[in-house]
Amino acid sequence: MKRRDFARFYEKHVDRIYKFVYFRVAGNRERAEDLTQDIFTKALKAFDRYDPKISESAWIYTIARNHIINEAAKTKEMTDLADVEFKLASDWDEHAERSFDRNRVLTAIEDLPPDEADLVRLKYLEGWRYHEMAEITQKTSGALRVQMTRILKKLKEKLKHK
Amino acid sequence: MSREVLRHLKKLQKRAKPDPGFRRALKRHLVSQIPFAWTSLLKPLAVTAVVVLLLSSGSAVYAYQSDEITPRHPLYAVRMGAEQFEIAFNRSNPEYYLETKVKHLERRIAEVETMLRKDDRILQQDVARVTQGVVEAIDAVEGVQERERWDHQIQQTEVSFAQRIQKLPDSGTYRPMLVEHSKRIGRQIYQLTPERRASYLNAELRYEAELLGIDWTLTDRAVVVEDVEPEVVVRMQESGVMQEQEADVKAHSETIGRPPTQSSVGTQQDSQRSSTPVTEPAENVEWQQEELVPVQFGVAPTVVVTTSTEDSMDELDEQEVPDASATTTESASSTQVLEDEATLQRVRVFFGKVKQQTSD
Repeated sequence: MKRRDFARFYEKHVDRIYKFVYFRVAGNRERAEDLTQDIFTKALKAFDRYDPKISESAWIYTIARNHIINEAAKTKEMTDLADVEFKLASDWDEHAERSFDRNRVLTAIEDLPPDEADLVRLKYLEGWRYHEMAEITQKTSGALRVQMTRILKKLKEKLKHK
Repeated sequence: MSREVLRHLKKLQKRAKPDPGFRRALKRHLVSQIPFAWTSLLKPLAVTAVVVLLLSSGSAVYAYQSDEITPRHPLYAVRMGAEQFEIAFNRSNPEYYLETKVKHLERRIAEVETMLRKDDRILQQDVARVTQGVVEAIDAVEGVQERERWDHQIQQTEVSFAQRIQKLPDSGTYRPMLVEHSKRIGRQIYQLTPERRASYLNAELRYEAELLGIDWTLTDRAVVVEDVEPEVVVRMQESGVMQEQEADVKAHSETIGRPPTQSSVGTQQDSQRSSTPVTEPAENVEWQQEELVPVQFGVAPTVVVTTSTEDSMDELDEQEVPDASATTTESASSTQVLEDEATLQRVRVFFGKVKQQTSD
């Protein structure tokens, strides 16, 4: 493995993976950094076995997702990714640094069904593109766009009623 | 989609950036675990160690490495001499040579930053050094494979520098220098092969889109500007930025891959040209996405705007949407570029107008 290759891979994905973790630990930066380090350490160990036929985004996303679930599973209380957010985070109010309005938005996202909340986070909080999300979710970009429009409409309705 | 909700989400996204110190430290930690191949002794970064060893005194080492050395410093000539050695050492390997050139460009910019931090006045020759660094780095890209990535990196570095100078309190003083800077770089770019020129200009376009926060992808025959809100599309149509091609909503994939029959710019200045009708819908597309309102303008490749709508989705069936990717390549491949420079410039202007309308 060349240092340059891994460095390039790291630079390309670190911000997004950090965001992925950050929004699952309720904005706890210290925890997000720890988990990001763990994820990239795992990626480093597996880097020589990486199959270029799989997209890099999908590969590192799988590592990140599995690691988050495994961390929660250590306590043997829950393994669902949606529940992990509340397990790994102590308290949104304690660690978040945002206004009341943004708190409403985040709470509304958490109220969505888990798969829909995941899509909103991937697209609007972590900055994934539709074609990258398609690789992860095994759905087409077109189907994701349709689904996202419905989700965002639902989100807006939730915010109106809050 | 409520703009306010999107705005909050975008702010949240910005807040979630990793601390730069953590980012750097983690990279160093991870990379240090990779065994150092002994051929990497020839890498440009390793040349730094060689240069340091060859420098005869502590002050010379300081001149080479310190961030405080600027063109006004007595030891600046020592730094320049060490850099010439680096270039000579790496000249035979195109990638190492390019990395050295990019490193030296970043140093020139860092020197200007140091002078600004110390309230030193920036002179024409200081900007000229950065210009020369950009020109030489662009030239060095010619010998490597991942040209678009390097063009993008150099272009980002150069634009960041120009914007930094423009933001200075007495930026009017620097305007002639920046004009000369842009002209020189422009002349260099236009001396390149058409392929490289397109690559660099595309890098510039991508960076501008990033700065403007515009999401877009490049397909085989179209620039797709994504997720533009319906009211922005309407404003752009009303202001003459875009011409409405169709009253009816068509499926997104229908407009991809079909060259328009006539040219159309979609601006008021080009009102002499006739608007381009949308091509006939593809026969194999069965569904209609009512949330997508594609609007075309321009010569091939087509620019397509997709938008999300808040219209009710109740009338849509819950059936699975057919695979639109069968008829379109939506992924923005890193090797795809816009080859028509006139269209590229038009897309740039279009991005600016989308942003302007979005901000209003």
